[in-house]
Amino acid sequence: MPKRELSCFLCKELLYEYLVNSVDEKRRETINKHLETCSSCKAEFEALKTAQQYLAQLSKIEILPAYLAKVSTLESFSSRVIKNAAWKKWPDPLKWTVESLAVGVVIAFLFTVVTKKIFVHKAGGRESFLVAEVSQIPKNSGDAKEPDASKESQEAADDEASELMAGGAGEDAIETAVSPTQEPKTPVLTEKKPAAIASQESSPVPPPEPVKKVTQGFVYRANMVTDDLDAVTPEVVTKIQEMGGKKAGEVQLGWRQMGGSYFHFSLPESEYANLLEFLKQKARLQISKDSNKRVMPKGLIRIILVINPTKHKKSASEEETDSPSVPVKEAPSEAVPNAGPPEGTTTPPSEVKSPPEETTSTPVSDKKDEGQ
Amino acid sequence: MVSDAQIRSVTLFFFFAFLEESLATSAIDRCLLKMNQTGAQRIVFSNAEAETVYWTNQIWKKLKKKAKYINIGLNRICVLPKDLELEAWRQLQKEILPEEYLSLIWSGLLQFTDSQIGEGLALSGGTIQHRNGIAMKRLGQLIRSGKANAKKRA
Repeated sequence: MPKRELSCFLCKELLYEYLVNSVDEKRRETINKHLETCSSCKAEFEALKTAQQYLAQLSKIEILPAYLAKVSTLESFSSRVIKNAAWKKWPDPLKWTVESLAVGVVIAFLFTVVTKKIFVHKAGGRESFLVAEVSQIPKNSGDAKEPDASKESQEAADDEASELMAGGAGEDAIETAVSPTQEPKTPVLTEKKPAAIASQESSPVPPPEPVKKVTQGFVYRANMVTDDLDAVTPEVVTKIQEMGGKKAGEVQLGWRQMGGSYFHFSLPESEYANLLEFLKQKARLQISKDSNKRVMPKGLIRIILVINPTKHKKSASEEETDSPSVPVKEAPSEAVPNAGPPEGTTTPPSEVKSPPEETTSTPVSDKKDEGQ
Repeated sequence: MVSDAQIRSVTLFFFFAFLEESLATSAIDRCLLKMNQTGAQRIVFSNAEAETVYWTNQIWKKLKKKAKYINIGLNRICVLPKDLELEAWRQLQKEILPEEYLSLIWSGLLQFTDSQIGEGLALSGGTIQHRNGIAMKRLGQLIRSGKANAKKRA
């Protein structure tokens, strides 16, 4: 097998080992022969030798004895600082002052940390401290309104109305611009004493109960159609007032709007049946009970009654468009004279009985005179 | 306990590694303190050279970012032989990898063997030889080119 010649690449790679005599004999001879013939490898070998001689000279550097002695004393930085500070040479008063200051700082730090932990522990883990206890000044119920109610007009701040229902002012402001079939938006979140107990207002009023957001209220929606609106309206107003009913918003009982009469009032629950009786005697009545966010005080119910003249008879679906109707189960057996469907049920438009010549109309006053 | 030979080796190492008196002094102090520690913190090596290689390497890694290589105050540390310039060495540090010229310091200047250096760095002897070869080759070229330039100027 013919011998392969040593390449320049391999030779250059082995030059350092050749220089420090760490190659075997055979390879050494091969490199020797190659160096005799190859000038580039030889130049590189010469460079290595030069570097080796240079390093040999560098290794002869003498370190100054003073410097050696200096670095030989093994001292840490802290010990060197203390040594340079010459603490022991300080006068005694100065030493005592510094020592007492150091001790005072440590005590102050510990006191701050420890007392803070104690207070936090006593405060139930909360990092807060009771600074002062502010007693709640009992207010008149008229002042205890929701933030939304404060935005309403001055008329809405009627004392009599505010005793009954908090937040009623918000609804009043809405009713002035909205048809009566629309829902008032601001709910009553606090319970108030009824008007019959107004005499007890002189005694301190207990703080309002916490806000109840989950409670669901209701409202009765009634619709009547009569031939003589002008006569029925004042009678209904009188009757409501006799029963202890009061307006629930800004508008007065029997407010005339869009050809009809609008009643939004609260009534003692005990008078509900009597009122129904009375209303049925006057005209055909449709009434339903709808859920509503507003919660009335105990013993009071809220009723929205709309009386329309016969020629402007509305369908039930037009009046009750906002909220789903719930059939009233409280008085299911009462029969309404001249009334089609039973009470408490929402009559679909097809079931509303009307003379063929009468036209259904919307609350808009444009069709008011069609039937005439 | 650190021997005088180790102190000299550490001093030379940081002298040539940083070429700056204050930084070299700080590094030497740190390294000797580490080498002198006792108890569980002390790392045991088979020979003093390997221990020197290990701790000098550790301290150099911590302080290498502070090095400026501008040859400050070296005359307060040592006496250089006549006709010996450090220009080639300074140039070498700029051109090759730090691992290569450090290896050259341990083997060329401090005369440690490849196996001792390998033990200190946890590397094989072949790796140390390879690094030395590269560093020496370049150092030789720089020296020759420097001499050639000096001749040309002359």
